[in-house]
Amino acid sequence: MTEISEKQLVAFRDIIWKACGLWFGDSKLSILGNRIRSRMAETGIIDPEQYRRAISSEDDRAELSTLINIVTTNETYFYRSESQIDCFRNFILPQLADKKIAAGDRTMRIWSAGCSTGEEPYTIAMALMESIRFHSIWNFQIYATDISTAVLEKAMEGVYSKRAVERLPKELLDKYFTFKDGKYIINNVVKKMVEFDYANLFDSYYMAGFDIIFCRNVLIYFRDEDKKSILERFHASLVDDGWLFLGPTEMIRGLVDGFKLTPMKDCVIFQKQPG
Amino acid sequence: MKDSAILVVDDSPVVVEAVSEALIKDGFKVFTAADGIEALDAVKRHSVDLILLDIDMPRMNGYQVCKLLKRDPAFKHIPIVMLTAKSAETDRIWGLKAGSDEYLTKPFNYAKVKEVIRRFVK
Repeated sequence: MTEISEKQLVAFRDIIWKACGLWFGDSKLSILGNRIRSRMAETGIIDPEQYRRAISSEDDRAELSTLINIVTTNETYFYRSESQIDCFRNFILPQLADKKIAAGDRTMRIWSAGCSTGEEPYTIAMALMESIRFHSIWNFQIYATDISTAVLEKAMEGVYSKRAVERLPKELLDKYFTFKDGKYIINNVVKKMVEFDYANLFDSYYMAGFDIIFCRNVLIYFRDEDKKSILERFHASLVDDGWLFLGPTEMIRGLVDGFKLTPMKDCVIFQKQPG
Repeated sequence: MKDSAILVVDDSPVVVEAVSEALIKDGFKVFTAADGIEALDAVKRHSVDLILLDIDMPRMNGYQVCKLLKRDPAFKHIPIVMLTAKSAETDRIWGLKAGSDEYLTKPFNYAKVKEVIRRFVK
């Protein structure tokens, strides 16, 4: 396979960062290299310099757009980071539902930012139906965004491999999926709860009024100054006391004020402090 | 078709200038916007017959602009032509799902843009 020098990889990294804000730090350069090499093989381009020119063209950003789709696609699965999902389902949701009921409000807005192929927003939808009594009288709004239209299309199809669902509790798999031709198809009742949208966290419009934002294992691809700006915008998008779920190992200390770190059983989450 | 108002939305000043100049030469009235939020403001302030809309722009992307306008009874009749570098098949599908009436990719040919405008603006 084609060799790409470190200098060339750094040049590719800069082009991608300028285009969409994603930052492949030194520890992730080899992942970037692998993905660029496989894309080069698909296009038939052997020379990295020629490929660099192909994604640098001001007039034709098609190849750059395709490469961004590829480098931002990550494999995920249902019930990823189980302790966080359990915390969401068993602690956060009942608490939030009680608070809403007391206020006479039966709307809940949740944003899955960086939703990839849909496993996270559909997991959220199932958790809502499982945890909230009389869920049919609630107005649940699950907004799921990603920077790649390719993964959004897959998310909307809602068809998954055995591997993607193997960590899902069997009762949920039986209840919310149909097995057909070796694939697991998410039921329409779950599908209809999620609205998918294209958004680049780097510079897209952020809606407001969310009770909970999930953005797990996404900020690791941003530089600290961009991460700070995204976290500040998440803060503005959350209601007071709203919750932010990041990846299990992601911390925000020193980057942004206004969130309280809340240790829960086997995980930590962040709660917006009213300004 | 002459005197019809076209809103050109793109964060590239080069594209905005090139398209606007060509449209003005052909007798169109042209408004411009550099991002999605400016586009929404422009549509509210001016009477627009068609929108040429880029996708990847700061503050609000073109898919979001398109969805908002097509859901709004006051603006959903305005034809929206996406004019974008996003040329993957899924990008195109996403544009049509967002409600765009046509999807053109860059680098574009002005004659093609004009032909599409002519289809929507009588």
